Amino acid sequence: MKSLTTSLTSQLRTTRNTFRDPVVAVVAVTMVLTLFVFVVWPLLQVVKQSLYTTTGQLSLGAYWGIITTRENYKAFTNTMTLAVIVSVLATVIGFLFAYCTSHLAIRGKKAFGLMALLPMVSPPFSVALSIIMLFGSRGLITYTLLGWRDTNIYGLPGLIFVQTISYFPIAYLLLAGMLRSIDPSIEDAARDLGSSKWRTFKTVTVPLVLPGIANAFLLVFIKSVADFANPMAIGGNFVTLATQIYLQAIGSYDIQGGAAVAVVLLNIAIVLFILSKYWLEKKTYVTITGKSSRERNMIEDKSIVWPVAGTCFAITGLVLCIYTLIPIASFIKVWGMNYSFTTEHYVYAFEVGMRAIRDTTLLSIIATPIAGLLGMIIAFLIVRKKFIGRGFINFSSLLSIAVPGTVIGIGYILTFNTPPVQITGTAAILVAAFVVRSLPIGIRAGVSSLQQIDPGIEEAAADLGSNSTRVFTTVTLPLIKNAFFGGLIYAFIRSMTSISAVIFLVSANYSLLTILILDQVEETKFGVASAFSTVLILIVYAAILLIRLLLRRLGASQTNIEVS
Amino acid sequence: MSKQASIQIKNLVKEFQTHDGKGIVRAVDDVSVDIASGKFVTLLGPSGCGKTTILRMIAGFETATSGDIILDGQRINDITPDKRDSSMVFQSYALFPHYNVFENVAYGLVNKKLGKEAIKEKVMQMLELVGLKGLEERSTNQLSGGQQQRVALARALVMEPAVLLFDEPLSNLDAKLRVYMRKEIRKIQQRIGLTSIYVTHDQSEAMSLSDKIIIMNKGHIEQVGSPTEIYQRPVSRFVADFIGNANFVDGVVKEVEPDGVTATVTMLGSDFVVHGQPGQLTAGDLVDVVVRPEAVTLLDKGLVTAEVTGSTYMGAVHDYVLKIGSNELNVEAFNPVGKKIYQIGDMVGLQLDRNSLHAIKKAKEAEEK
Repeated sequence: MKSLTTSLTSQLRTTRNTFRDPVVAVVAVTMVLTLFVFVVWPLLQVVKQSLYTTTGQLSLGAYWGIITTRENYKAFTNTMTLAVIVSVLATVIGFLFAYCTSHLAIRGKKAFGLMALLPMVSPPFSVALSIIMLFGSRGLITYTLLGWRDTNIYGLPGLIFVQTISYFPIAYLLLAGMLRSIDPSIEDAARDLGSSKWRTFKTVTVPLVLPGIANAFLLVFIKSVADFANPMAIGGNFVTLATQIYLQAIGSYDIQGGAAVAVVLLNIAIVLFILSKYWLEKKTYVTITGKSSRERNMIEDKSIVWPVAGTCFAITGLVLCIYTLIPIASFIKVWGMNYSFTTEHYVYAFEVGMRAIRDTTLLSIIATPIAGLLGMIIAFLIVRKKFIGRGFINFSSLLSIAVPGTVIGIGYILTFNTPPVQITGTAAILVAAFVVRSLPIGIRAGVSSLQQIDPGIEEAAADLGSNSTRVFTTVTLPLIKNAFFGGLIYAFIRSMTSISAVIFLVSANYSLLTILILDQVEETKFGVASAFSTVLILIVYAAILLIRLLLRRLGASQTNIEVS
Repeated sequence: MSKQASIQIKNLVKEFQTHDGKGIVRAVDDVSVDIASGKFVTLLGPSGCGKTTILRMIAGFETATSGDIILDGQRINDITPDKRDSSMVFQSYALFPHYNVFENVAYGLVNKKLGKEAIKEKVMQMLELVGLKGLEERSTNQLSGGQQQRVALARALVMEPAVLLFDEPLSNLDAKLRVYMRKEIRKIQQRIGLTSIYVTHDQSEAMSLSDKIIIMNKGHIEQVGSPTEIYQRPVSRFVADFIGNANFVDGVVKEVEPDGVTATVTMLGSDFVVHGQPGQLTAGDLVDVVVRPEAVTLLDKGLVTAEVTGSTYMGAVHDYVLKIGSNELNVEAFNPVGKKIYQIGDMVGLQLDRNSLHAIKKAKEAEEK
């Protein structure tokens, strides 16, 4: 008890010390409040709502309902089955790609990087849409080329396909980084001590990245569990927790039941996330042996290179096909029936969707700088300032990475429908959702780039008479501008392509592109859906180009911008 | 346990593609050298001189562009690293972080298909030899730098290789530990009598460890010799400069003795008897005379007079900078306690130790300048 008191007083003293600067104090308190209102409070509301009946009685009935209601139980087992299968597949494929880039002497690795970027910059339904158009009942391959009748891609097989294609790049990027950072001498040492290539791979390379493999598995698992767009588009009768929340809360007007399902999903996501963050990240071997002495000698042995690289290039080809199919399909009259050229989908799309295009772009433009700036400020507070509440900021920003969009969505309805913050139906709630959904990645990028910058540089600026605002704007921000612009790009893409959270929040006043696309997919109007997706992609690319141009004006090196 | 082997390297060449993929760099340029069995040989040179590349070609991590590597009479160029009878101690130690100390040392023995008991016995013996007894269960990241180094050494030694290869193994240790570990390495190597090849850019490491030093520069060998030969009889200005500190004084050969090694050289306005490489000097040659800082004694009066332009007290030595005409000499006076200290501006006399004076014929291009 005594130690608790002393630690509390020392914490208070540190906080008071930090808050001697009024700007820092005001900003820090504002950030704590913002994160509380827009991240933590809505989640608490979901939990609270799930514990009350419609008449306001405290009850565990909703949870009982999950076990006893067949739909909910089915959604749970569906989600888990899907996630396990997809995680295994995506991790295996991701590892193959990663090993290919880090260990094999091949050309054309750049294609992998492009391929890995595509899922991030594409509208949420692209892959599902393409898969339906390729392998569905009227699919180009299944129906037109092979002449199969009644193929059904909807449901588990389609979802496995779509999610694996969408999420293996996550595993790839993570594992490529880890495999690359193994000191090549360790593998040389194994060879030197008499191990064959296979034994070296089995006893050294794989064990060294085992924590990474587990982490890749978990990250894909989280993604799969949280995925809303794909199960909506291609799930058919295969309902997952994420879609069940929506169907229950919006479809059946049972917010309380939806909240209970949301709590289950939230718990799964948080457990997985904590496992990945606090358990696996500590088990990393890769960097303990200090500097790596030289570049790795890439494997040239054809019996290894050909099968591995061949598989990777084949998958890359498939992925590129899948994504290029969308713009092509937007000019096809009736997919599966009449493959003649037309522009009527665009005419129709602009007719119905002009307002959605405008609203989505405008709201994203508003959300982007807010998310970018907040991300850098929060990163700065986390890395450089010590005060009570810093832990809360760090935790809640991490938390929002893990929380599935549908949970956020239902939380926002519950929280912002009533005073004190009554903003449902306004643009503000959509902007808030956009910002919260894209903030965590910006914060992480900011934190990691700040950690590489000597605090002495900022101290020097303060020592030369700059106040904290001037230190931040003239020294800190310019030094982390790559992370900042990367954050901006990410925030814009994320906002434009967002669906899972905002589908709960759209109203008559504002309409969003992604939701229009979903409507078209559900009505199997693939041409119009493709046209909308193409417009969305064009807007996103135009924005990326614009931000890069801006960045070049400012003289930053473009190579360091990370979108992920 | 010693299974000594000799190594011959014949006309070894290694070419790399430059990073832009357009040009070709010759990292190792026609190197030939014989390494007798049981000897400790050091490849010494500045970074980028090709020494590590040679070591990695012997281990099998790099393939030679041309030339032969012969281990005990057998050409090993085309043998993969796992089948070569050599073990390497890596600069970064390259310990397996997912194995403990015992498992690290046992790793290679498993490849030799030894039984569990035999492995255990050998590993324990080796850990005792390198002074790690009792730490078998430790994870490698719980060890100090020196201990990690010992694990790396034990892991290589336990394989009973024909040749032991060291790739700058001490460069990650602090200065004191480095000196201690090099004594340990030398002791163990001498006890086992293992043929060893050691790569370093640290001349004091090379001097203290080696039977033979191979000085390399820009991919080729500058000089091969014992530490004394290398220090006292450098063949080139590069070697003299790289090993220890050296002053180079311009001189002209006046006369060469019939032995071909001793010569009289005119420098600093007087004649001095010096030695040179056998047969290298002829009368009239322009030479650089290597004057080591410790070979000069300062007196109040002497044959050569110089002006003191720098005087720094360093504890064990007193450093002087002297000016004699256009020449500048760095001089070290050892154990300055109780000796006369000269100040800047003083005129002093020099006494040069004739045994230490070594003349190197100036290279052609230097003459033309």
